[in-house]
This record gives sequence, C-alpha cells and structure tokens, in this order.
Amino acid sequence: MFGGAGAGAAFLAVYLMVPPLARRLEARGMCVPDVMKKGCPPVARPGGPAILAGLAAGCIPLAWHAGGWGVPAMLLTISAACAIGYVDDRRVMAGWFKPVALCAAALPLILAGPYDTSLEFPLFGAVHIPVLYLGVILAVVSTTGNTVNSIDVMNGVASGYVAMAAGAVCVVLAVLGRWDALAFGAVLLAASLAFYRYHRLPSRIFPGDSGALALGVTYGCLAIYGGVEVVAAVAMLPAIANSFFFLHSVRRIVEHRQIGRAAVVRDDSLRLGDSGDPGAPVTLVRLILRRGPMTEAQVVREIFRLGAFSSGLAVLTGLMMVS
Amino acid sequence: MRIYALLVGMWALIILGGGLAVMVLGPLDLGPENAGLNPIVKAIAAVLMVVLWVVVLVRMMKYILRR
Repeated sequence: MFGGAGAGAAFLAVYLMVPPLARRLEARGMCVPDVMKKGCPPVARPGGPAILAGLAAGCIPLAWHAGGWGVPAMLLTISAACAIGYVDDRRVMAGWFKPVALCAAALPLILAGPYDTSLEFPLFGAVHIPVLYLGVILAVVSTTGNTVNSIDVMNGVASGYVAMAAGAVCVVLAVLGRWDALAFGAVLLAASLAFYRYHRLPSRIFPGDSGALALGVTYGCLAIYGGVEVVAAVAMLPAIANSFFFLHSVRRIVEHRQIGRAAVVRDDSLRLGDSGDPGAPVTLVRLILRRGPMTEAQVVREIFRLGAFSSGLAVLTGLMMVS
Repeated sequence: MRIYALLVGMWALIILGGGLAVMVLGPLDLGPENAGLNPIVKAIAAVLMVVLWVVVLVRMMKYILRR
C-alpha cells in the first residue's frame, strides 16, 4: 500500500515536473547539443532536479511507514550525489572528483542507513563482515553512481537501463519477501520510467551528471537496503564492463569530456561507426559498433538487449539465493 | 555475441568469488589471541581476491578485443 503510494508519487512528480523544468532550462539557455542528431539540436540539461524531486516525493510515504532515520539517510546520500552531479554539470571537474565526492556522500548512509553487515552470495550463503562492510558501502555508492553516469551516452540509455535493472532487483526482492526494500525499489523504478518518457529517443531533456548520479546512487542504496548487492551488480554488468573497458584503455581516472579523441564517428547518413582510432577509449558502444555502422536507435536497442540479458542473469542469481 | 560471453564470464567470476568468500574468507579465524588481526587479514585477502578478479577480467577482455 505505502509502496504503491511512494511509486505513484515518484512517477507523478517526475512526469509533471520535467516539462516545466525543460522549458525553464531552454529559456535560460541551459542546453547542450545532441551530437548524434543532424544539425546537433540543443537539448535541455540537467534533468537531475526533477529526478531528485520525484525520488523525494516517493520516499515520504516510505519514511513515514518505516520510521527511524534509514530512509531519510538514504535520501540525504542521494541528494548529495545529485548536488555533486550538478556541480559537474555546470563546470567540468577533474576525473577524481566524482568518485571521491561520492564516497563522502555515502556518509549519511553509513551512519544511519538501513543495512545488515552481511554480504549474501547465491548458492553459498552469507558472510558476516562488520568492518569490511563499510568499505562495501563506499564502493557500492561510488561505483553505481559512476557506472550509470558512464552509460549515459545516448538518448534514453541511462534512465531506461536503470529502470530495467531496478525492475530485476524488485523481482528478486519480491521473491525474497523483503517488502520495505521492494517499496523503495518501486520508487526508483517509477521515477526512472517517468523520466524515460522524456529522455527516450529523441530526447526532450538529458539527465546530466546530476540525474545520472541520483539514479545510480539510488540504485546503490536499493542494493544495500535490500541486502542484494550481488544481484544488483549482476544487473549492472554491461555498465560495469563499459566502465572497465574505459578505465583499462585510458589507464587513468579521467572525465570523458576531457578526452580529445573520438571513439565513435557519425557519417552523413547519421549512422554511427567505430572511429578506428587506437588511442581513443574502448567503450561498450564502440564494441557494439565493431559489427558495422548503426543508427543511434539500433545502438540503444542493442544496449537494452544487453541490459535485458544481465537483468535475466540477476533474477537467476536471486533465485539461486532462495535455494 | 562475444559481449554476451563476457557478461556470462563476469557473472561466473562473481559466483565463484562469492563461494570463495563464504567458504574460505568467512570462516577464517586466527584464534582468540589474534582476534584483532582477523579483520585485517580478511581485508587483505578480500583485496587480493578483487585484484585476482580484475586480472582474470582483463585477460577475458583482451581475448574478446583480439577476436
């Protein structure tokens, strides 16, 4: 009941807030060119404030039902992540800024968050790591925020991908009977689906770093709250692989906007292709384009196929935890 | 298709890593006289496992990129 109210509030808040926010951003000239389109039309950015408002609206019934500081602590961490992203939206920060700042944003979650210090694995059971688990929280918050941000490469990918992964985690939470965490997952699912309505191809608004970090860190909080860290990691495997390819090829933590070499090029017929530049970073999109030139819609579809596959693996992992 | 194989490989690594964590790392106990050392040794072992995981992942990735 309260879960449905939270999800409904999150969906409505994002759905109703994005159009006026986009108009306001356009009026202020806060737009970025959509480089994948003909003529590079300007698109409003960032949509992070609308996503944060939706998540906050959805968390109110949950906080009222659960009591205590657990849900407010998660919301504080998500707000801090959104603020960190907003700083990066307005001004390109150094590569180390977001991972380090996200570790700091995890402090409210560490101090008052609703978590159990056991890490649960499929087939083998749980391992109790009271001290190490604090490091797990830092790693989860920083990694999920940055991986969702790194997959925000094309129209609709970040919000659509998070919706897919959150859906898989919600299925597992329902199977495990963890209803409070399921309600929180439903809020994330509703907020990302409502934002996807405007973010999908052709985008009316981009989430920006503030939106991508808010979605990613909320996903991390869901993993910790539900005690399904491994399941959540499996659902994120293509995004984790993307970050891994990138880091391994550039061999340093650097903001992607600061890399001068293009991994992907666009021809006159708006088809995307691998640039073939050995010095450009290796990314998931670049690997997909190894098959040959594709339109943006085809690449997005391929990323969603990978997301659906890893979400299936995540549900399978969750079922292995039951047995 | 090879990206899907990489995902399955990563998934298998996670399951195997979990098995090692639960079966080996979890029960690790240096005795009551070394109780303070227990979490340190477990942390070092966990970091080594992550390093090993990354090395295997790099090899898998290189194999796929070469193909």
